[in-house]
Amino acid sequence: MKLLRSTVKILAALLVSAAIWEVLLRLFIIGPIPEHYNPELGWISKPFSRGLQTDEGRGVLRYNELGFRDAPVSKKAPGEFRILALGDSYTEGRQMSLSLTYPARLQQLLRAKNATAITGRRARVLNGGRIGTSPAWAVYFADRYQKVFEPDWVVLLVRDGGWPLTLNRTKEIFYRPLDDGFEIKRQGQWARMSRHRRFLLQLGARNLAVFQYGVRSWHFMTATDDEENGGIARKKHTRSTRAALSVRAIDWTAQQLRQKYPRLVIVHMPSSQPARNGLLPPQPEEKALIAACRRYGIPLITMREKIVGDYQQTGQPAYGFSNTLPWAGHPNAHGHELVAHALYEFFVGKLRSGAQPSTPAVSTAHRLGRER
Amino acid sequence: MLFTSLHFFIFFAVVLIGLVLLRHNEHKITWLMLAGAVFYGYWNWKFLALLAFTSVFDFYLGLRLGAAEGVLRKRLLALDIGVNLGILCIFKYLNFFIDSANAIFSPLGLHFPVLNILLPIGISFFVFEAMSYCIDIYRGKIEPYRNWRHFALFIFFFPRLIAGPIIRPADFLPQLQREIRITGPNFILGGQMFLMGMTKKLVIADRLAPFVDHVFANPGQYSGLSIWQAVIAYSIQIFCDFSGYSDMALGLAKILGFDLPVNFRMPYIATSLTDFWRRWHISLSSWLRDYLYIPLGGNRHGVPRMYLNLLITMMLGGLWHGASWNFVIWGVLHGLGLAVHKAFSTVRAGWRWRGDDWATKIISWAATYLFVCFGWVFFRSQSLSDATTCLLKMAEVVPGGLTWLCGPLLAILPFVIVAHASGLVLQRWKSPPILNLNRFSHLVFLFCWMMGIFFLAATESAPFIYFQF
Repeated sequence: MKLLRSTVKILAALLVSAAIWEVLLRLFIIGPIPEHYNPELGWISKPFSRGLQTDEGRGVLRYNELGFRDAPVSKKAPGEFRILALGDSYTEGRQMSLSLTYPARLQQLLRAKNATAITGRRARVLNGGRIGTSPAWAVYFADRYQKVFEPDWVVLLVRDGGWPLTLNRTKEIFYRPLDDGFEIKRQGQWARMSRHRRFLLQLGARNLAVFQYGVRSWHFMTATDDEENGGIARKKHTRSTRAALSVRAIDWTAQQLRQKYPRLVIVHMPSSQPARNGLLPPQPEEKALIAACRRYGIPLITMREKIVGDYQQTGQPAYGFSNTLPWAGHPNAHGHELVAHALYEFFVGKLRSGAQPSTPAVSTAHRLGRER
Repeated sequence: MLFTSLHFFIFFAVVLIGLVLLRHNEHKITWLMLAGAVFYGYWNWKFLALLAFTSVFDFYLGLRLGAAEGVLRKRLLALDIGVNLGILCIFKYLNFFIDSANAIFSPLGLHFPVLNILLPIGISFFVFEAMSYCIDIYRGKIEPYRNWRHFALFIFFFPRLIAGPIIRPADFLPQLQREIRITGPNFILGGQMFLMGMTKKLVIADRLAPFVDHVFANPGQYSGLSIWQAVIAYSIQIFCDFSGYSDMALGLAKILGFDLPVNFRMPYIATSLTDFWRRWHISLSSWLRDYLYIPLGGNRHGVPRMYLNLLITMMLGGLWHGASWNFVIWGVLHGLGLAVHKAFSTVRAGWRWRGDDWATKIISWAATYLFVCFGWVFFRSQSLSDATTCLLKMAEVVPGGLTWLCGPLLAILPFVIVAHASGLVLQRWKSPPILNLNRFSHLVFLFCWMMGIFFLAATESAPFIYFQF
């Protein structure tokens, strides 16, 4: 009896402590954004959810009816110039307030008086970034996105680290290599998901801050290196094979995007590293992307020279936050600003000249093989 | 094994179970000694031989010393100090001496090869403890121990084996005469101390480490404001890291039924450098005072000699931290600072003004803290040129560089200030408050604390700073 009383007391104390930390975490550190399965769009952030992110930068998060970090998507107004910004966490920009992300800044720039005078149209830039995704999502959901959003132009922001994810079979959408290309696959709702994760998702445990933050803490305590780029592909292929597959995947992706998006511009964000106090040298993925965009006539904006030149002038790194390090992690508000301005120059130039979508343009000069 | 690792928790649980199951005290002592061997061997089993040699050599030399008289007694003591310091010099300082010799003789075309010597972890600590055993026997403070296992446990006692505190044989060995028991109050109090140490290390020190490491690796890239932030962050990091480790060591020892000396008493509230060294790494400063400063003459041979003794003691204290001129300079700076303070205190004694007002205390505190931070620049910098760069940037002599706001420092600073203020109140209590786990509110507090460490621990764990010494 005494043992039972002690056990109940301990369990009650644990629950009370968990409740206290649930409140504290939600107020100051993390407001969890649960995942939600949409049959058409796959796993998305729960529609209309709100949250907080303070691990890297600080962002107050709100999601619309489609699970995107943006205002609700209205029907396209007559005369509206609509741009859809696709990408991963670099586009979603959870590390800062929404108004500082590059889609929002681009919209502000395009709505400024001189831009509207040039375009004659009111701009709307939608943030279609989805955390944890790869360019494969842009390929797979192209028809859906075109139908729902009716964009005049699509911006796809890519980074070098995103390409291996297209081959990661633990992801919801991935490429299966074939002899002459790839086959894009989408897994079922619970495919390749561990039983306990599925159980917790069904239970709604991920709605709890203590759970989501606890899993994060446990993950950092026990995680091995390179888990994001792992999946089954790592076990089957050597490093050189993976690199070659990534390069093939880039070419194939560019080919698919060209077919699916009549008006597309790709923005490439180079990788950075705090230890180098700047950008990594051009990776094979960057070179492959440049070659692929040239081959298929896709406008490409590479941010490398802009970021380096800007840093030399202003001394402001384009990556990193006060609670991380310079050049660590995601682009910061300054980095997003640079992307927004690069895109603004591109679109104003396009709209002023009335150029056709098939005309490739690279608005930022790049030189293959140039290293920092 | 780090105290904060899963492996250590499993190891400690096994040790506790063994202590509970064993009946005879001598068996428990053997068990703890073996546990220490496993703990040290986990780092590098090859250096177990060094630890074993130290325990055997100093034990038998202590026996001979106790029985000897006259000149032989002095010679045996000299042998013990020579061998122990020799071990330290070979493993820790040989390459430093070779590098220094190369710097001097390279213009003459001479170059001595640097040897590939691994530094045994904790060597600076257990060598000092072994030496103090024979020195205390020589001085008549203690009698030689006849039981090798007791002495071996003094060397192998794992809670303090890697990074202190430096324990005295006169304080530790008598504790082995009473029965080793795991008691509830000791378990709770020791657990509290351990959790406090984990909080300081994982939640505070490790969160500041990335920023500090990055700035001190590239001081030229940063502005003076960024370097000031890094220096202040480092002062908090090194305190929380080292005192956190000490707290964990004291807590583990308490759980096992042993009392180790307190190593820190809120050093950053010190209002003078003398006060600072009564609060910072107390086990080392008291060791240096008793085994170096006083034997050199202390203050018994006039004022100039006292200042010289202070300088030598602090210089060697700096060198103890590491084989680098940065540490020597750090020690010399503190030696000079202590000498200046002593001189000022002597002069002030003749004044009417007592200096007890709040304004004086605040100014004294600020001056002490700034001086300590100035010393930390040398302590932390990777080279003398880096230290110079930091100081020039801090003084704005060399302008420019990236100004980066350290978010963790701004978040942690208020807590550190509040914690020190709370400590000022708590230190008036005779004994620290102990949780009563029969009370529901205390149980909730404990779980909240543990969850807080789990949630707020830094995502990247940094090694304990004092492991490198």
